[in-house]
Amino acid sequence: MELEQILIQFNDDVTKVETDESLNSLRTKYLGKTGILTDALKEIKNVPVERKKAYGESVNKIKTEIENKLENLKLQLEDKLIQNKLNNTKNIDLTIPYSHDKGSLHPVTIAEHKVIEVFRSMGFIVEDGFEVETEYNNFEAVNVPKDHPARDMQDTFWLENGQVLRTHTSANQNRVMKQYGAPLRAIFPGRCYRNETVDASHDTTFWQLEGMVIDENISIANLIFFMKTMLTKVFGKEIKVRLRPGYFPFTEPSFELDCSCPYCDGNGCSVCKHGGWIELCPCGMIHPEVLKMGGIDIEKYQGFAFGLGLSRLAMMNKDIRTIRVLNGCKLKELKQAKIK
Amino acid sequence: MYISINWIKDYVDLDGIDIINLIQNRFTMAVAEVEGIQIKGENLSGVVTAKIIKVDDHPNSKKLHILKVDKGDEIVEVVCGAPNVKEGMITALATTHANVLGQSITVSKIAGIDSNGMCCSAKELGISDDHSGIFEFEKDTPVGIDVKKILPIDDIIFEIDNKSLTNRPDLWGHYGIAREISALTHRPLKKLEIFSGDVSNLPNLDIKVKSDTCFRYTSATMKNITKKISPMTMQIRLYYTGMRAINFLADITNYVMLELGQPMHAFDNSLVKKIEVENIDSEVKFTTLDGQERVLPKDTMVIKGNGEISAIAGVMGGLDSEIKDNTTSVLIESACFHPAKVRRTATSIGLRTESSSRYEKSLDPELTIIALKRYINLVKSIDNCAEISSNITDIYNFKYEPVTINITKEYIDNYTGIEFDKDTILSTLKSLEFEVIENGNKYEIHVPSFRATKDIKGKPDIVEEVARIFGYDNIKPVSPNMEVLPVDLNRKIDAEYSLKYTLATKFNLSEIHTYLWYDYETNKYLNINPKSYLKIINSLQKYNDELRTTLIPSQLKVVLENKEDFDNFGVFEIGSAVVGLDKQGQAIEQKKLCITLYNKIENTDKLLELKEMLEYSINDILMSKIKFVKATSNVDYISPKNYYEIICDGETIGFIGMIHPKILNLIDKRCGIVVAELDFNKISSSQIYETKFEKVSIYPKSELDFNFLINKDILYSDIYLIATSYQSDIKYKVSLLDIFDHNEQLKSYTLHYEIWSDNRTLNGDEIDNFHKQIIQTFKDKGIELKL
Repeated sequence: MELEQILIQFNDDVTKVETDESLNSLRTKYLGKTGILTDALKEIKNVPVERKKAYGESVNKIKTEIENKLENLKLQLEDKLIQNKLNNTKNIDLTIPYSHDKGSLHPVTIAEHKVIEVFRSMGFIVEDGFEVETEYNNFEAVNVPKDHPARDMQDTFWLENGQVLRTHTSANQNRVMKQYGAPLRAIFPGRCYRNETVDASHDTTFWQLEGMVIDENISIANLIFFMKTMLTKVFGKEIKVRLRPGYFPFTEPSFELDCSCPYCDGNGCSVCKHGGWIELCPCGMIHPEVLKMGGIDIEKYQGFAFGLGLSRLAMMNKDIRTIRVLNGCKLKELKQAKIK
Repeated sequence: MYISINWIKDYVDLDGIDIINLIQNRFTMAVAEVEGIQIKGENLSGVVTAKIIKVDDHPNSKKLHILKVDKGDEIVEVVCGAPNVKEGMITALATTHANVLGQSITVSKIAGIDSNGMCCSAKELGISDDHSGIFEFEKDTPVGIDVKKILPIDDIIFEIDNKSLTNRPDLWGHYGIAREISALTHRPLKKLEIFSGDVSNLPNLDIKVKSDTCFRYTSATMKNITKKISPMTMQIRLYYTGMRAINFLADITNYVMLELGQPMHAFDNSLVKKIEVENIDSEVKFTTLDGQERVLPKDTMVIKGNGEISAIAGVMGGLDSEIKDNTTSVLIESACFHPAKVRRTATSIGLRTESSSRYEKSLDPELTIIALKRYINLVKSIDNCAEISSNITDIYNFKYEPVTINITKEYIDNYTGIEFDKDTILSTLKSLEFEVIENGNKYEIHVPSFRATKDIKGKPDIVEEVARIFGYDNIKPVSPNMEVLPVDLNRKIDAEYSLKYTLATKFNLSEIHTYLWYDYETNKYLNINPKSYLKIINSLQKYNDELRTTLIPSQLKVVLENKEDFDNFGVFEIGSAVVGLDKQGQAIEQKKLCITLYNKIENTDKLLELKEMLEYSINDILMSKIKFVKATSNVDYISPKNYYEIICDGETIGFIGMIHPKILNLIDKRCGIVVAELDFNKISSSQIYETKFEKVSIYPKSELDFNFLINKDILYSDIYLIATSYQSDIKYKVSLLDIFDHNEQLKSYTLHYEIWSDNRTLNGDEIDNFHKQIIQTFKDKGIELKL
């Protein structure tokens, strides 16, 4: 075939290509082992010597042109394919909510985890305790004397065997001091029990998170520091704290710790009963008798302790208005909790 | 407790001080919680003294009268319905434009006649609950004067939370509060006026203290009492601070109690002449002065007057010996009783009084004589005729040890984190009546008796006194200097959270908290009787007293409470249970993980789902290893079918199973409930199986599938043992692709084998041989390939 003829035919063939397959057979037809152009190149042996060079150049030129055209065509076909894919992609409405069921962590667990993480970051160990306690651990070891009203029937659940349902996480103080000694930085959350009338903010069953710091020279100023830092981290905003005098047998001096209301920043709202402050945490410098009973050398060490109201914090955290939600097991309520 | 600022002002000069700020901020922050502040008299203005000149009948009413009233600058006509109106009486007239109880007074027609004002009762003046008639002033009271100039109606009353005074017996009276305010304001505390005469020439009273729970009994008698009612100033103070005026002699006992915190009792001396304090040896009936008959249990401490019980010591007096209208002589009791004794008595007879709640706080026995002398002083200053008729007789059997505390400035600074100046320390302590002997930076501190009964015992108590008056707000937060050390991560705490997190997020379960005791009603309804080892002896709800050994009944209650809201749900709890008693009889407490899945329509796949939850969260997340072994349920509310024990480190730690159909029938006839419960403590202390990465072979894997026909009763765990028993240098992994019923006896199991070598590509012969060997392995156990 005349060389010019090859190109004309190719140009005509090209217009018929629509798929990858036809592109490949077109390539084979011209450039394959027995392809038209390959044959043309083989013809060079029959070309007179003086025209060999020119012939070779012409064939190669046509070959390059064909190769380029095939390459272009390949890209065009790919483009077309992608375009087709795009055109055929279904529109999806991402504003439709997902419908599968959600689990939930208990609000107390969520609050507890948050507080634990903050205290751990400040070098506190986390301990566990028992809900059924000895009279010694619940009362004696935290300096609650025999005649103290707290020991009377009305506040404590007593068990047949003389044990009690712990009335506070402080019941674990003695055990923790004996186990770890001083210096000590520890928290221990847990469930506590009081034999008292149930209302919107009180139930027989509630959660506390006890903390203790014992070291040389621990001061009231340090206590304020830790509580303020912890609350600021838990609420994710600057929280003010204030101490008021309180009275607990296991601390001296004892304080009621109020935090500025995180909802209204202390300006007054329904959560803080318009006072701007929320009573959150009884605390104080650990009574020397309590330290002594825990085997701590009181000539060398002193410290502070606090009993954070974890149920209270959980309720504040999730804006829960009654403690019944926490102990009530109504899934309609509990399933509202996000995990964090 | 209510505190009157007028009363405080008797003892501390508060001129120029912002009282609301003082109470709301400084007092709250340094002394005790203030629950509320009332401004007395703010709803009353324009009320003047006025004389009733003429009383005329009202033409249209039998009850109403038309009065001509002289209000100083003019005589006005007022319509009045009070029964006690009479000519010549001086009363309180609310003129037009006056304000009474927050309402403004205008000229108004009453039954057709214009009334130019209103005559007020004591209640309308806000100084009493008495609304029986209009208020009557003394005869010689001038007219036209604002009533507030004659009666101390204007006052500020603040209420202190009694709980915050638990350890402060000294603050149960105005004088003690005044002492605190004196320290806070740096103004002197005025001395109390008390009787100072010598009566030692008068006869002693016959007082016998036979009870060791009576610490001190101080008494005296007075005669020729002519006053029947106490002065208005006193009545208003009593009313404002929550008491009611009764009669002169009784009012003064209350007044002294509210002033000094010392409860007192006044007996009619004509009926009670000698006193015995003793604990009764048998139960007795006794009528207290509130008119109630009460049963006093054996061992109650009582006061006997002339051999008859006249009072329950520290709680309340008796009806028979109380002060009456015709009483002219009085025996005054000012005593100190054992705090816990009084509290127990009050609790046992269900009668907590102003008196008992003060004694409970450990009153200072030194106070009895001061209070008695204050009583005498008040009676004599009001009633000129009154005379003291006995020696002050004092039986003082128990004294608290004086408390002396040695402390250094360094200790105070170190404990608070504040560098105090010496004067602050000294002046604060002195203003609170502590005696301080100074020796450089060392102080020897003598604690006043009213703080030494239980409150102040050691050095930290002194720190508190200094710091609170200084103001806790002035202590700046400071981080301690501490060594940086890594924290031991408590595996149990971490495992608990990881497990909860996994169950909630991956398996959509909801965490719940249920009570530590069984719910009697639920168990009764479901007719189950789960085991319990320990009972609460004073449970709040009858029968809800058994501590649980298992969380399942609690979760069944949760199912009952939620089944109407959701068709399918799963709940879990990691909670305590008491699973036994040790040799000493102490509770063995165990934290248990319990999961319940509820389906409105029974679905047997749920059991597998639950198993998967446990395996995934415990084996894959916590890296412990649990296994399931078929067993027999020994609990009647769990179905005998499909009951498996959960094994961890070779020990049975719990079970998984289905709730028995007889229980399901009571919940919902078509529903299905699957449960699992296990010892969480065991999980969190079990062996950890760390994942080691295996080298992934670079040679290709071949895949082989087999269908075996296997007896239905054989467990997959046993089939798996056979499937993996072939020993070869060829590596392989077996998984279960499918199971279906073949016939009545046999199931078809499709097992999928991946086989490979770490050092070569397996050739056809090797693969064929492997195939044959597996078939042979099964054949050896009598299991045939499905053809």
